[in-house]
Amino acid sequence: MATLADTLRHSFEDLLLGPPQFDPTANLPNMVVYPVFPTHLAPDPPDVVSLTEAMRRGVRLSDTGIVTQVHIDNPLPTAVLVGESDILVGPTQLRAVQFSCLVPPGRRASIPVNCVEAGQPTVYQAQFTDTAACPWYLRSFKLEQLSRHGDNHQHRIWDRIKAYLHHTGTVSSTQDVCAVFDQFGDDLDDLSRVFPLQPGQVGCVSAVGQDLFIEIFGDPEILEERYDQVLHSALVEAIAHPTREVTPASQVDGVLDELIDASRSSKVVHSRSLRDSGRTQIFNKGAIAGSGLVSEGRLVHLTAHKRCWGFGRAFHEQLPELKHQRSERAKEHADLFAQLDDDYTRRCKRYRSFLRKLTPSRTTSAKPYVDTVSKDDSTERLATEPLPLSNDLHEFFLRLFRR
Amino acid sequence: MASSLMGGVFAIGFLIAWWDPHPKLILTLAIGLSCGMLLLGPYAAAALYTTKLQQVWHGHLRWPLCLILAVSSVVLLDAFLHWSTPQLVLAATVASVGTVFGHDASLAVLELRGSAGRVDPWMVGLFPALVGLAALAGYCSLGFAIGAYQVTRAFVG
Repeated sequence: MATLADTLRHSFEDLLLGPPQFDPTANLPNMVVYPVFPTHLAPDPPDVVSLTEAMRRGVRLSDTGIVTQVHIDNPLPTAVLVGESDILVGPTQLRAVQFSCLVPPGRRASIPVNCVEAGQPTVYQAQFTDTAACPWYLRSFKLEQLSRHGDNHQHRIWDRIKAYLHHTGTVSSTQDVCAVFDQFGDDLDDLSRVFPLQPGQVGCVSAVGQDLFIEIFGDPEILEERYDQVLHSALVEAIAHPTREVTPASQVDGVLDELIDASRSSKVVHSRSLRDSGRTQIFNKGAIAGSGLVSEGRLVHLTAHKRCWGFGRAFHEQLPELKHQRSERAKEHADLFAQLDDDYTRRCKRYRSFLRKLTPSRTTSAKPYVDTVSKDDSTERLATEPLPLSNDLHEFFLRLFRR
Repeated sequence: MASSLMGGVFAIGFLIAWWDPHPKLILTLAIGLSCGMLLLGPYAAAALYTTKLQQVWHGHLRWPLCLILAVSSVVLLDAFLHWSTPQLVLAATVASVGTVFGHDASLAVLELRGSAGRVDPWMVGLFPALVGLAALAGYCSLGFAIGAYQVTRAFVG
């Protein structure tokens, strides 16, 4: 079986970074987005839909009453991509998906989640009605936790959200992480226009302050369905933590190779009930932490975070270079972009036709399915899980003893 | 944090040399800290989680249990070695601190071994010893400073 590093190497051979997108008026001097394009597009669109699209077409998500589990019932004849840190919204406690997974056609399963609204109780059988973006501040923390410890510590996530809301001046009576999007909603809407989705684009590398947020999908149609979430989760960081510095292009150029290198030491994580549908692997090396979902040897979804602390440079110093790069890359790949535009238009028509025909093949069950084996296991695991005496001390030793 | 910790231990060693230059106190500090981290902490972690005692009292039991383990070990040693009261208090304090450090260090090592992270065995072994040595260094530095002062004074006349 190919390793994640092999799959990434194979996938990245066909990818290139496009012209950088930025705000030339310097209203947003701490964010530059580098769209990721494939060098060619296969004629067939994917037979996977994103969770948001699937929920519109009959997929039901309901609360199991267990903080770390949400039930999904997929009556559609196609697989559903549940993305890492998708926030599930409904009249119950908000949850964030722990890692990307594929829910096969017709499957009922439980997906691993974390609570991102500490002050809200769970409501058994409540239906989740929508999905929302999760700020990268929390996503990067979750990725690091998952790759270091193999699990997310719920209390640390709550602490992190509390600190985040405090730093960003956001008020939420239930400690809801999504409140930050309400706080900066107007700016998000205005500034989103600076970073439009390009035809055929499959991902983006967002340089925000001294961090790089990377998100790549196997197919451009899936990115299109999720682009608002992908962009908002990075953009909210740029707005909430304003600086005049941004990571330079020199740090971005080699980032895909660094991801391959980091993914050499990866660890498989899976939901017990979704073990047979794709493989999610998490990795952590140096300043990089990430996760990749692979199915049938193909990369479906990759998310990663790279800290570039100390490498940030003032935006105004980089502006001439960024403008030069933008025009050079647009000129250099003009033929490719035109070709991608044509191919993507054709694929989109077929994908839309595929979506139109997508109807549930059975009725969904009203009662949430609970992965009982997993529930017992998780209860047992929580009960016997060693707890440090001091979180700070524990973190200190984790850093000290890591080679 | 490592440098603050070492600096703090160094300063305590220095103060002990100032307060009572007899080596018994500084040895109690150095050996108590190192042994607490290397022996009592890992032992406390193993005892707590194999007996599943942390389920009791919503997990809050681990703090008193760790402290009881450290203090009872010191009292047991005192029964054989007949320490003075200051030495006994110092030994109980440093063994408790060492146990807390050793407990969390053990969990960190277990987590690193269980996840994708790699453990640095040299750091695991040497760090507790270095903490003890920092205390000795603080203790010795007072004597060195006084000696250097005396030599300088003798030369200057």
